Amino acid sequence: MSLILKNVRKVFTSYGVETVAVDNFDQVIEKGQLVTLLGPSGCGKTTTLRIIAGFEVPTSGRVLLDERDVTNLPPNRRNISMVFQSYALFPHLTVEENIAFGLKLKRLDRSEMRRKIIEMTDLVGLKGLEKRRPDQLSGGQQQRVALARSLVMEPSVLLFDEPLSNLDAKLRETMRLEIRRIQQEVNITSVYVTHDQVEAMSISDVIVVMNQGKVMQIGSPFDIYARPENSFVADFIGRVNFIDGTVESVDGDTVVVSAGTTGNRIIGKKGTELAIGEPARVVLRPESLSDRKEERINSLSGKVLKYVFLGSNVEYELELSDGRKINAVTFNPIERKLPVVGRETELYFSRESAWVIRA
Amino acid sequence: MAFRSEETKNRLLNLLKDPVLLITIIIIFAALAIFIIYPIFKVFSASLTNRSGQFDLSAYTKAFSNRYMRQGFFNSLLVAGLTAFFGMLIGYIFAYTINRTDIPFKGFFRTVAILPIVFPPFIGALSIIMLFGFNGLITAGIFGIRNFPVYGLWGLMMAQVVCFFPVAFITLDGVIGTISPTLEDAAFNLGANRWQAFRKVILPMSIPGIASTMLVLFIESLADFGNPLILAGSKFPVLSVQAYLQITGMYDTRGGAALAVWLLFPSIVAFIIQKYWVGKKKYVTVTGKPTTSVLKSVNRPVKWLLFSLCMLMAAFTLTIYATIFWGAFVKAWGMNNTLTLENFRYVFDVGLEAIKDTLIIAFTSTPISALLGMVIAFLLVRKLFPGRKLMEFTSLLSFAVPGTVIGIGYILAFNTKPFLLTGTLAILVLNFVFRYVPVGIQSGVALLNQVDPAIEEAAYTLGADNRQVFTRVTLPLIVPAFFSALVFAFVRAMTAISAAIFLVSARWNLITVQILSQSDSGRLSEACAFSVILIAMIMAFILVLKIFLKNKVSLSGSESMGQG
Repeated sequence: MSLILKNVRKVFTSYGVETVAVDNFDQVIEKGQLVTLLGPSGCGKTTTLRIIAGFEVPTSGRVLLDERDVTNLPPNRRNISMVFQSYALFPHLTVEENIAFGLKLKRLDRSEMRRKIIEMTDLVGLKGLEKRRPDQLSGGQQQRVALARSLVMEPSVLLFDEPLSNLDAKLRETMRLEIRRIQQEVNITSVYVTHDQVEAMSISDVIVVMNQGKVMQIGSPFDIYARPENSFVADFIGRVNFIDGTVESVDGDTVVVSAGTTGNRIIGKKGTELAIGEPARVVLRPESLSDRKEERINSLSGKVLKYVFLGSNVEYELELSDGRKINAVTFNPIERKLPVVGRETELYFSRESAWVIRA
Repeated sequence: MAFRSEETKNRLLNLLKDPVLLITIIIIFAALAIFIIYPIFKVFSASLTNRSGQFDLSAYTKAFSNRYMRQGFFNSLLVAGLTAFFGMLIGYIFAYTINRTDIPFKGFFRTVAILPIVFPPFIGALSIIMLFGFNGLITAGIFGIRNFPVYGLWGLMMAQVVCFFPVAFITLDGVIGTISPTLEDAAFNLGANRWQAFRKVILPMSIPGIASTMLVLFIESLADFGNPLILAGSKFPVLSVQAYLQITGMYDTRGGAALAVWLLFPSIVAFIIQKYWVGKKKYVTVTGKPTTSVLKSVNRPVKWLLFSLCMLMAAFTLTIYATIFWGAFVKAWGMNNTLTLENFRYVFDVGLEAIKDTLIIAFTSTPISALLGMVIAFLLVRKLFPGRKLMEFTSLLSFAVPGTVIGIGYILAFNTKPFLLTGTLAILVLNFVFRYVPVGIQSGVALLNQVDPAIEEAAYTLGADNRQVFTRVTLPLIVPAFFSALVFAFVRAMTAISAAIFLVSARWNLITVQILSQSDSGRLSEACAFSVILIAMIMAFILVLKIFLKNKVSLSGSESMGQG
């Protein structure tokens, strides 16, 4: 019971120019998982989703659903439902009729249909709105209808194509929790496309980070954030500082990097295979930097260039002695003093938070 | 390269898995080939082969060496060019005045500028003869002039401008109406005066619309048959009429076909320029709601000048149609003006069969044409299949091919087995279906382009096949386009003449043909009575449809179909 993409590749040709939209996508999606395809626009995530749905024919590779090759099956025979960015509700049908659309095509008998519709409107919280038309609903309600309409089909896989990007920020937060709750309650295998990393982090079991048609990394939200395999993933997810240098020594999973002209030696955790003398990059999140030494073994010092007070935290920029700039965040500014612009400051970070990858 | 063939293979496999779609595409291609391409091909082949079946250019050399025929070619182009220019000019003045000034009676002007669309095109010619001809109300009745030169270039052009300027108005109204007034404000703000703002902003932005309009009018005028038949006269030969006379008067099918080919070329050239060159040069100016205009585009004298021009044209247009109504109720136009119902009794005696036939043909062809238009629009916008561009070109082609050419093509193509249709109802219905399908396609395509494709994709993921998606989702969504196609196809079928005149028979006749033959034999009042009945039936149809639609379908739903 799973969805398998085998070496899926899609090339678009326009005016003789070939563009690789999806480059050898290979992934097994297990039953009940929610897998998110995350990446900047044009990275191939939507094309991948449309290949799974059957709207695009892959240039090569296969799509397998429950051990059945569905590559050449039209979308209506795949038992895969989709929730669209624009909701795509049928504007000429009521909420109820929208949900019943697929059931009618299946020729379900009336009482069975009634039961399922009631069950669904309950699950997604649409009670009392059954007779409304889509244009009489708010954006969030429309998205609930779209979800109910897809879920009621009991599909093998549920696809989400940026379902929340037409909603305002506040509603987006509630809806993504709702989607996750319902997805887990029904235990349905889902593939979710978004360009919003916070959304991806908050609802996924597995995140697939894509760029220019290629898969950059596959992993849990924690791995993607804390253990990026390359600079793209590190840079794309969250805010980051890169400190480039050369590998001085490797001992188990501990790496010592000499960080260029500052003469600093950074002791970090090995992220990729590294050899002595090779160029390396230390991935350091702004919130890993602290003004208190405590157990932290690494340090950087520089001048405070500017800071932004944001209430719950303070973001500031530090200029190192060789001119490189570093971003840092400290939390709970009430119990600390605000930084002073121009002052020399020392910041500390631990071995665990210095993630070293190949430059 | 190996990948490409695998993708093609996958595509074909998908198409084969969907036999309904595949069969629909094949049937439509076959129908387009038989009912649009084949007749045109027959016109060419008939003009190029002699009795013994050999290749022979003599029909062309004969036509070209004949000064009269040559004159016909140039006359046709001349009239078409003048009609295109003046029709566009009047349409532009109406559109500009209505959109950019605060004159009174805008609703009235708008109605008058659209009205001629629903009237049979050639009754303009009929009316002009009644006003300016030998017994003309204005020339003879008021000024006592008997030999006013109404026949020929100027009379014909006048009739065509009246019946075709609405086409220009509708297009240009859309163009000027969507140019945001803030652009003019910006021009004023940068120091331009009103004339400069018009010259440098409004006019350049409407150039694509103007060009496209002129080409459309050029095609319409070239193809026009009814007006020149009544108004061209013997001293001013026009191709479409000459081709008809060559065939029906001289029994020279080859010569007629050769003239038809001459008529076809400029039309096709104009069509291709319009579609593939001008059509691509549109400025997109609409984003969201247009800002309310403060209407300061022209000063007062210019405003009232424009108002007077519109008033003059409106008065002229209304006079044209009022004349027809009046004419229907008098004993003998210009000689005995006593009111009578005699003409209508005559019409029901002589023409009842033609009225019945016209209705049967219109009611059969109209829904088929509109539905076919929607199916083709769906395929063109939403489906990828080999030959899509070809299907688009062929299906829109019949708009560009003059009715005379199509009519000759049909009698040539369908008078032998396996397509023996001459004299039947079928040949008229088929002709109307394929001649008026482009309008349905165009309004369907325009509306579908505004419908979020995800709505149909959602239906697929919920298990609907192509047929179910079309009938349950697409069609309900493009219902407004379907009904506008229905109205248009009906009006056209009721008022058609150029192709139909070749296809009517003793068994199946049309009101329009009756009007022409009545006016030809000088029975102007009877022709008017026929026209009034025709107009009444068209109005009744539109009215019934309007009432029916208000209760059945909410057309306003179309607004909420755009992307969320």
